[in-house]
This record gives sequence, structure tokens and C-alpha cells, in this order.
Amino acid sequence: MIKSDRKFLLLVLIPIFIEAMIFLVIPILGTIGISFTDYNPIAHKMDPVGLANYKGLFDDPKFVIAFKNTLVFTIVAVGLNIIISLTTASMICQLKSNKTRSFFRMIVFLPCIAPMVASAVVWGRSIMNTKTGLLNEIIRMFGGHGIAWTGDAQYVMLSVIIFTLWADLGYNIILFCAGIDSIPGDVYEAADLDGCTGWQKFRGITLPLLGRTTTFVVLMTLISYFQMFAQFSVLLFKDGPQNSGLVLTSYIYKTAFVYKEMGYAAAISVVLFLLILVVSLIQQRVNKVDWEY
Amino acid sequence: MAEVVLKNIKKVYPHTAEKDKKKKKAKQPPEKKSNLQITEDGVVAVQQFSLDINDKEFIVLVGPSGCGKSTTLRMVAGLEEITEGDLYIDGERMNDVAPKDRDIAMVFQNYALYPHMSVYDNMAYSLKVKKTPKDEIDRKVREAAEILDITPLLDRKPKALSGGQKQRVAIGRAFVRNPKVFLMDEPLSNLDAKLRNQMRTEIIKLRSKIDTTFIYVTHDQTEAMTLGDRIVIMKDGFIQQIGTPQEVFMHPANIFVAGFIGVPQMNFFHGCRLSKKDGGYAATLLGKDYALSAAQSHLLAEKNVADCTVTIGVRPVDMKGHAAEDGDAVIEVAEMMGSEVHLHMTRDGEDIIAIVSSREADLSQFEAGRKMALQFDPAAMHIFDSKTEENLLPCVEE
Repeated sequence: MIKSDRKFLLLVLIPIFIEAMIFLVIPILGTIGISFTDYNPIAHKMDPVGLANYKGLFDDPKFVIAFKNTLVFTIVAVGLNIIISLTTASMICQLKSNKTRSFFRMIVFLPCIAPMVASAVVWGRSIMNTKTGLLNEIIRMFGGHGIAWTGDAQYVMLSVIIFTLWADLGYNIILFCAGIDSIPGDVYEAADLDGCTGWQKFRGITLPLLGRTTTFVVLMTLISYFQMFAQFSVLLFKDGPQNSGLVLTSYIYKTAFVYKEMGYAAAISVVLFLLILVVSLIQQRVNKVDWEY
Repeated sequence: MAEVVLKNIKKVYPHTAEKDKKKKKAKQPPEKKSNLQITEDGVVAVQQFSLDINDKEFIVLVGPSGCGKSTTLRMVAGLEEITEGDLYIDGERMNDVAPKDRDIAMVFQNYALYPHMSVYDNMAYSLKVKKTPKDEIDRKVREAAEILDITPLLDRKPKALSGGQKQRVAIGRAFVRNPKVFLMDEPLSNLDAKLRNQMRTEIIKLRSKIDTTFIYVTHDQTEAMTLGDRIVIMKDGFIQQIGTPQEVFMHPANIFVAGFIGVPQMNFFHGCRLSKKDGGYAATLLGKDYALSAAQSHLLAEKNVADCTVTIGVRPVDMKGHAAEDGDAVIEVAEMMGSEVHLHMTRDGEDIIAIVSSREADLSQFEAGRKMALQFDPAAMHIFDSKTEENLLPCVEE
């Protein structure tokens, strides 16, 4: 490598490296370190406690609930998100006119522009409101009884999932649309002549050729849904009845900043970090793509 | 194994959004990229296309880009809708039949292999879709692979193949289906020259093994001449001529066909006189009168051709000449091709090419800048009407 090239490289990379150290690596290591202590900023104490924080985790019923809720929310929401966004994207991509295609893409993307906290407030106050909410009005129109969307432990998770999907589908639809558009048209024509029906083309061509897009979309959605926080804290009142809406992120927040048990919160964070890491690794292995155009 | 009949086929691509059209019109005068007819409904890509393709015939559609040959092929495949006219395969009207139910296979220019499947799966896919028993699929795929010499590649993915290998797989994929009609859309145009020649020979060999109807699209006249039983020459959406390779070479229907078929191109001499003389006809070319043969005169007389201005075409191989101080044309370049010499000359700004056998000729006389006196054999002249560009001496045999 030419010397001046190396200088330029260093010049560009060093700021990024410093930024990553200060805001990523040191905090992560710090969190892991704190998780082995009983750090409490109010009581001014920070003594090493070994693995005590981690040992206590599974005896803590709230942690177990939060862990379970997080898993349920992530699995169901990511699953539904992928199914709905992929179906919608492939329907949008079948539209012949460019203009209608762009129109539908814009429509589905609109909710993504609104800040999630703001739309959560709107949904909580007006759409999912038990007495006057839009959803209940519709149910009553068909002769049903209104549901306490955010107030009934049975429906809390469902409500959050519905809201999350509404707010977040657009991104993935756009990504899937781009993926589908990048599949060469003549491959579909070849499949047409090979005798494929619409469904066979979707199963045999679209799905496998969307492999790269799907890997990316699933990974990003998984990571972001494991860390969902805004809708749980805004849509629900105090984590919902019987902690039915308590997830790891809200439990971390509460433990750290309400109960001031920084050490314990750090331990939960590390668990969430490991959970995301393991799931991501598995996901990448499962969806490995070994072809090229 | 099928007869394909195209009756007065027409394809119109409707105009895209009105607004775009208006914008373009306002900004710039309509730039004519091709001479395709544009009507209120849209751009007419193909019209008045009628052709009866016999069972097991090899038909080649040839023409410059944008002439509608691929569109026609895609209409036969069912990938494009037919705007007007009828398509019959084995007597059955196919206009509204889905591509998958037409029992045709197609080889695409860009191969269109399934990138995520191995060569084996690519070839087996259509059979799998049809729920063919596994052992039969295996037998057919291996048999095709054997014929196409791709057995060692069966486990590879398309990305690990060269262009020529991909093309073989694409042909194999069509081959295993044993289709009624085999369509090929410029299958060799992505290959380099050497490979193209090789694959061309292989397609001829393959044809003897697959006894079926072929429709082959190309812009390369050599491919058309070597492969086709009959050639369909197209331009601007219209058929110019249908005939065997020999017919279109010996008796081109018009100036376009005459110029398109044959390498190097036919020489054209515009503004020549055709006149009646001594009961026969005579053509005046480069100031000299040439009496046409009795057969040629007879044909012209039958057509009631009066004295008129014509364009005379002479193939480079039919050009004769010798070096002379007061010659007609100036030599620019003499290309030594091996067994023959291509003599590029110019006269009044028009290029003239002659092919001279390198054995007979004294090559030293072909220095650049020397003048050549040209002579013509009236029997080798192609005479075209200056206005309609039609051949005034069509096929003598008929």
C-alpha cells in the first residue's frame, strides 16, 4: 500500500474508531463489569458480588415474565411482520403500472414516518380506547362487545403487536419490494414456460431468490423487536395488568432508573444482549445463501 | 412435433401515460429511432405477420434490432399478448392459452437459469412441476446432459459456469421437456465468436436428435443462413421475405433483404437506367450498356416494365475488374482474408466491395490509390425498382 493511502485511511478510520470505543465498546464492557457488582448510584456503593446477579435472575418472577413476554412478542410479531410484508410486497410488485406501485408503496410506508411514541399515544387514546376507540366502535357495529385492548391482560400483547405491525410494516415492505424487483424478469418467464403456477413461482423462484433480502430483513426486525420499548411504555399503563406487557427493555429501565439497582439491570442487559446475539447467529446460519446471479 | 400457423398477427404496444407523451412532444421533436409505425393506439411492433411453419421445420426469424422478431417469438411463447390475428399450434388456437399450457420450451438470450438451483435441478424443474416420477426425471436429465456434454456440471450452480456452459444448460432445460415447439431467442449472441461458431454446429447436431419444430430468432445473417430451413426476414415490424437460405440469397425480394443477407454486403448502384432495346432489355451501369438475358427480359416484359430508373445490386463475388488508368473506382484497402481478398473501393463517395480469389489474382495490382475498371455479368445483376425498392427480377424458378 502506498504511504499516503495509509495516512488517509488512518485519518478516516481513527475518528470512527474513537467514537466506537467511547460509545460502544467501553459501555458494553462497562455493563458487563457492572453486572458483577451491586452498583447503586444513590447509595454510593459498588461492591463486587460475583455471579449473584445472574443467579438471582431465574428466581425473579418478574424477570421470567419479562423474558417470556419478550420472546412471545418477538417471535409472533416478527413472524407476522415477515408474512404480511412479504405478501403485501409481492402483491404490490405484481401491479403493472409504475404509478400505482409507487402509490401503494408510499401508502404502506406512511406510518413509518410518524414517530412511534406519537402514534402510540394516538392509538392508545383514540383507536384502542375502550369506550370510544375506533376498533371497539367497529366491533360494536357488527354487534360485538368492546374489548379492553390495553387494560385486559388477555389482549395486551395482541394490542401491542397490532400496533407495532401497523407502525413498522412499511420498512420491510419497501425492502421486499426492492428484493422482488431485482429478480430478473426472464427467470419468471422461464418458469412460466416450465409450467409453473403462480404459487409455484412464488415458492420455487421468488422465495429462494429473496433469500438475501429475507436474511437481512429477518435479522434487522429480530434485533429491533427484541429491543422494542416505546409502544410498551406509551401504549400500556404500568406494563399492563399483571405485568402482561412487561418486556426485558422496560424491566431493565425500571430496575436501573426506578429501583436504582444498576448491577442487576446490567445483568439483565447482558442476558438480552446474549439472547439477541445467539438468535442472530442461528438466523444467519439457517438462512445462508450460496448462489449468485 | 407440431405445425405452427401465424395468421395476420399484429402487436401494438400501447402508449405509456399520456402525460409523458405530451411532455416529450413539447420538449423535442419526435426523434425517430426506428421506422415502426405509430398509431393512435400505440407503437406497432409487428403487423401483417402470416407464416405457416411445417412440422419439424427450422424457421429462423432474422432482422435488425427493433424489427419485431423477438416480439413475434414471445407472442408464440405466450409471454406477449397478441393484439390481433390468430396463432395455431397443431390446429388449436393458442391466443388465450397460458404459456405453461402451450407445451413449448424457450431458450433465452440471457439464459434465464434459476440461479439458486444446481444444473440438475434447473433441468429437472419443469418435470418436477409436472409431478413426473423421480426415476423418469433422473433418466431424462442424465440423457440430456449426456447429449449436451454437461454431465460433469450437474451438481454445479449456474454462477460457476461459463457462458457456453450456461447456454448448454438452458438448451438442456428446454430439451428434457420434449416440447412441441422449441423457441430460441438469440441464444448465441452472448457468446464470443469462436464459441458461437461451435455452438452453432452443435445446434445443427442437436436438431437431428430432437425431432421437433424450431423457431429461432437472431440478428446474425450467418446464423440464419446456416441454421434455417426457411428464413423470415423482418424489418420495422413487417415481413420482407420468407424463403430458403438459397432463395433469399439468390433472389432477394427487395433492396433491404439484398443488403441484409450476404457478407460482405451487396454493392448497390443507384440511378441506373433500364431501357427496352432490340426486343429485350438493357441496363446502363457506370456508363456501359449491358444487354440482359432472354430469361431476364422475359420476366421484365411479363411485368410490363417500361424504361425507368433502377438500382442495380451486384454481390461482391460477382464483381469483375482489372487495373486501368481510366478506371471507375479507386482502391482504398485490400484486405487479405486468406483464400480471398476483399477489395474495398470507392466511387463518387459510394463504397464498393469486390471479392477476388487470392490464388488467381496478382495481388500487387491492388495497391491503394490505383484505379480499377469494373465489369459486370448481366446474369449476376439484381435489378430493383428505384421507388418501391422491390426486386424486378424475382425468383426465376417460380
